[in-house]
Amino acid sequence: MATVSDKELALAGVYADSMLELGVARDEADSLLDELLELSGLLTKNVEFDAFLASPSVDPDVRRETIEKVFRTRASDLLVNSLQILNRKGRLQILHSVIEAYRLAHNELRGRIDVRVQTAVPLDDDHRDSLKRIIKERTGREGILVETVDDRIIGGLIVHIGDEKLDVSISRQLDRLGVALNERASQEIHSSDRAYWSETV
Amino acid sequence: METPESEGRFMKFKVDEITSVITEEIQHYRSEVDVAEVGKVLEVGDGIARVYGLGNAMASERLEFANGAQGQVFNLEENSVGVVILGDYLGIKEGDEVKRTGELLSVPCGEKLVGRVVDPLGRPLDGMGVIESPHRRPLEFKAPGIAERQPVNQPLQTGIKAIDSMIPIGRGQRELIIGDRKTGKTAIAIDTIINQKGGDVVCVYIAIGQKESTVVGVVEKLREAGAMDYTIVVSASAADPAPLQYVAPYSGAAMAEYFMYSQGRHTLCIYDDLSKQAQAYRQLSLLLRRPPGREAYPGDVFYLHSRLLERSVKLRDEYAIVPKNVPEDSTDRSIILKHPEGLKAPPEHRPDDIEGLYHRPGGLEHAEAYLQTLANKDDHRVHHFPDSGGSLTALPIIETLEGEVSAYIPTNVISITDGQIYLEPDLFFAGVRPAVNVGISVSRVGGNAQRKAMKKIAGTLRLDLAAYRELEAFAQLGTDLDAATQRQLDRGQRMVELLKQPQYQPFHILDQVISIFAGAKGFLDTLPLNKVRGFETEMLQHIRHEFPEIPKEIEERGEMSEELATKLGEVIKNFKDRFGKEA
Repeated sequence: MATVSDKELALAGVYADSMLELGVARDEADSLLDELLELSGLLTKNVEFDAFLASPSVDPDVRRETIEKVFRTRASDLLVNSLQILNRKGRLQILHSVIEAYRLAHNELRGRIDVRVQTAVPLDDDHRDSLKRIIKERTGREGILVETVDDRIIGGLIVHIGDEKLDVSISRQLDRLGVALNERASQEIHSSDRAYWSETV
Repeated sequence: METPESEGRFMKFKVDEITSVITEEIQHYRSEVDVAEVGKVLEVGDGIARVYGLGNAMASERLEFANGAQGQVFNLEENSVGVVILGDYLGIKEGDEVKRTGELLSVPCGEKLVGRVVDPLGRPLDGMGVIESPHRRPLEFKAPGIAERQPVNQPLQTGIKAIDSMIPIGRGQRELIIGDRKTGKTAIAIDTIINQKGGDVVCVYIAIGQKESTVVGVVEKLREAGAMDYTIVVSASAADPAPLQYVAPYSGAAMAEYFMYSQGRHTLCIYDDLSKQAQAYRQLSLLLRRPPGREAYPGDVFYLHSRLLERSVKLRDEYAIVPKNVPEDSTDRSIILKHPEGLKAPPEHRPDDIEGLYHRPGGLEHAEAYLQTLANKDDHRVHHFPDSGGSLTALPIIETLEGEVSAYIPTNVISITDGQIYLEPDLFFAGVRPAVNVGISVSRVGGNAQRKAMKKIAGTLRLDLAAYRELEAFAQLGTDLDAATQRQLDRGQRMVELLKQPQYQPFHILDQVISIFAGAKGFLDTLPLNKVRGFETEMLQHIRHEFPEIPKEIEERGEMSEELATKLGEVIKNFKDRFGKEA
């Protein structure tokens, strides 16, 4: 969630929102998302191209020509125009944030929400269905599950929906039990001090 | 808490006993879904953190970090929240989870705090065991409005002659102690606390940004004087992170407020010192990118102090007619017998609000009068609500640099408080200790909170001293002076000498009255200057032993009648003659 900087995300949102608006108007919102995700994958694999796009030492005109040549025939006009605008404004270095912001805005539009799930053992399909049902009840949106397996939670699960964290893991219950025991013991020992002490011989 | 070792015996811990408690606790445990709103730490350091997420967090909300430290929401930004960390920030790292609690910061308060040294979150610092108190109060509390207050009318005796005579402090007042470093500001505060021994005032001494060694010294002095029996010490030393220093005065005020609001008691809060709190607040604000203003302080540094000092208050006394069988300590206001005509009742019986309470000056008399008119008056009585009428007196301390009282923070606090006590290094080094400049020190409550006896004899004291100061220059010229001027000089010199007093020896108000009486009536004028203090000590002792009825009468009547004044004059004159012969 915090892989992109929060300040960048605010700025990226400006571009992402207008891209989404145009996408919706042209009924290309979903396909634009796919293109952006593919682009993101491409840039992750091709590090030099990523650097080329992001680097401030590259002449923007050179970059403009390269983008036209590489993308115009292979991607939608909407995507290419967006890239050109970002280039013109000198904002290509936040492209990854823009893609992420678009993804989040698109999720919102389509009634979806990112949900992170941590379990001790991998989920099976029944679990997934129940989980999605609960998410739908709780938020009215469709959950996109991002699953991780972490046996340190021992059992149960931890679910992050937006800002909310629902913790029904065994490790958490053990922690709470530990705290309760400590407090109770401390209370007992400090209040009725005599009952717990006996004279030594 | 008494540990068995402290009794000089060795005790063995009975494991089986505690095991049964633990087993019971486990059996009763019910697992619950833990639902919380969480965010992630983006940056942390220097006592502050930025947290991503927490879109619903509210300003000043309390947050909990993964390592148990508490935080307060300071800034609300577009995608993140600026948090001030109260506790150990070294154990927090990037990516840690931060939980909302939906609550505001609060501190434990109550009797269990008295006699203890705690940090601003109420955790013990004196190694005398855990503090388990069922009561908590919020750190920030809205000061009472106009209706709940009463004008200050009772003295808070500091035991310092210069102050109690010419700059008297009342219960519920805010009096600033201001001066350069090492002029005796803390000394005045400590003497005031010590002077409350045997009284009914709960004292809270708040040490902000001081050296730990200094705080230890203060605590030891208070303990020696038996003052810890009624004092709470809150300490956020120079080694503590800025957030704790920022929050410390509010903590202390909350602890004092407990006694005032729930028990109607009188309390005293000493903030030593607010300059350091302002610096800590400046540090936090700059780190969290709030725009700096004058002297780099944030724009709301006035509000920092004004909201603290507005919590000093003299609460109104509340009376009402209640059934006779209601216990004396009842605070239940639902059983009041209200006047049927309410606020339209005839003036001699009229209650002061729509609840039927009597709380304005003269209200008690109205209540009594109304009671007498009731048919079933023998089944009722006038009740004083024990949780009303309390007070919180504040003695904030500000350190100036090179006497610069027109700097930003000093001028702010001067405009907030009801008076100032100026301490000057020149006076201090000239041997006048306490180094109070009575000429420019002021108490805006003044005579209203002074016993009549003291008011009378101290009436001209300030003017005499002012006149003396003007003439002092002539004395140094060594010219020949006329008799009247010489007399004024002699009198002034002796009064200044009289107002000196050693540290940790507060004077009882009656001793002060007698002492200043002696000086004001000229009995000291012919004594050599270096014999004045000795004379004072012996005279007071003499009167206490041989003529105890004199102070007793002053105490009972609150003032000195003409006859008593004459009698006292005689006694002192005789004593002086004897003293003169022995000397």
